[in-house]
Amino acid sequence: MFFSDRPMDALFLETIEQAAQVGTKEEVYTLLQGMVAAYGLKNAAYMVVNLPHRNHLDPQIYVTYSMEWVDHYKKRNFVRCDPVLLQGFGSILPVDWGDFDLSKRPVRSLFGESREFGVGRQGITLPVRGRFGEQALLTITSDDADPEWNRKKILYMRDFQVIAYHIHRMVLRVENISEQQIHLAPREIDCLKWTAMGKTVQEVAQILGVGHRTARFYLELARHKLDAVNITHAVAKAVSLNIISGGM
Amino acid sequence: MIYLVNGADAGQYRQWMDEMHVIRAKVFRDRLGWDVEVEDDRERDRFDAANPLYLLSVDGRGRVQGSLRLLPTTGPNMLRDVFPSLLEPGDMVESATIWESSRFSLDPDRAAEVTSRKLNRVTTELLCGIVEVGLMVGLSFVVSVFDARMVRIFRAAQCPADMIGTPRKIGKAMTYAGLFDISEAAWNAIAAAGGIGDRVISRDSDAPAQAA
Repeated sequence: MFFSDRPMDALFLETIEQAAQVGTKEEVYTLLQGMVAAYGLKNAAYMVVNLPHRNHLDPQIYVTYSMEWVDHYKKRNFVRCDPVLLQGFGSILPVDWGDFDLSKRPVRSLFGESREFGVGRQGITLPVRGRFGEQALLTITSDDADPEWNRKKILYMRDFQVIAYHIHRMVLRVENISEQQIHLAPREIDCLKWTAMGKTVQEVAQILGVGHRTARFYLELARHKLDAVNITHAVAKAVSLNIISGGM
Repeated sequence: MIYLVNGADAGQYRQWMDEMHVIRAKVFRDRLGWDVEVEDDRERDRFDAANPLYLLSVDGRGRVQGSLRLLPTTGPNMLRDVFPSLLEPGDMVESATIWESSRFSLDPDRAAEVTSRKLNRVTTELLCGIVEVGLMVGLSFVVSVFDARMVRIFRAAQCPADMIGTPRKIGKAMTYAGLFDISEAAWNAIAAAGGIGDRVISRDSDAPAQAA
């Protein structure tokens, strides 16, 4: 059960596809709210630091939390003890809020008060490392009870690993941080071309004289560059961008 | 057992991290002749400052016997920033589902002789550890830069790498960029070849005491 062969559910595909269309800051909030509703989450929060040409002490933040909570968080200066930030920015693995050490009083206060403000009982935070050295965190929270959440969490950690990066790219676009033009390498174009002609990965590999793993790898790189949700979507995008021709 | 250590938490694992940097100096400077920065017999580079995830293979007495580190390919990584010459012109590896493994090293003074027939336990643990982390976070591939000696080891471990790009001589060693599959099947194959029956990553938050 690995990424490219995993039946990806419609929600996941929709979320990524919608993220690719977002063009304004307002639409970022709309997307996060839509994602929260569609997944039955409580909240979503995105934060990025170290963007190029920005003061890194001035993070960009998009959250679905209430304004009251954001104000309260600032007033209480929770940023100093918030383990979500401390662990999230120091890790590349997803951070599970259930693993936090609540023995220290400020941390206990933070999570106690966050519940009163409806932040969510459960949460995971997905770290993103970006091309310009920037770092971002996508948090999703839920009010699910433990058994239910523990089941979903495993899937969420994998799906939101990818979604987090698409949301990050969406924010870079909205913040006018230049994304490089899509430039596919010759091997990636070859793989897409043959895929567009209906060849399976095995066949593409045979035609190009590479291992099937390598063929899948180049398709994955192309998928990423095209900001596509899967290989079919990548082919469609490559055709619409005239990177490969549709009819051959 | 494999322990996961975030770069940011290195201070809590000072002894293990120190042992890791010593082993890396022995492997990359002394044995491979790479032009790495060694200070006080400890090898460190700028990617250690980029908060990587370390996989440490620790023996029953709390000693590090081998390690590697993982970095996402979406951020700073060695293939992009140090070894782009190993890739075909225009190729760039960047995806949220592809991470990079680097500084794969076994303590040369302690590791049993690794031949294609006899596989080192530490190697198997580290490779299984990569796949376990990958499955946990939903990776599709892990890419890595390694020397010819490692190619044989990977093959013996039933963890064959597909080469991407063009091998080049770096230091004393022929150097390759390669990719590894992340899948249950990949884990099973490596585990079977190395005689491993259970997950190698420690779930135990109470790590054994670091050796003094």
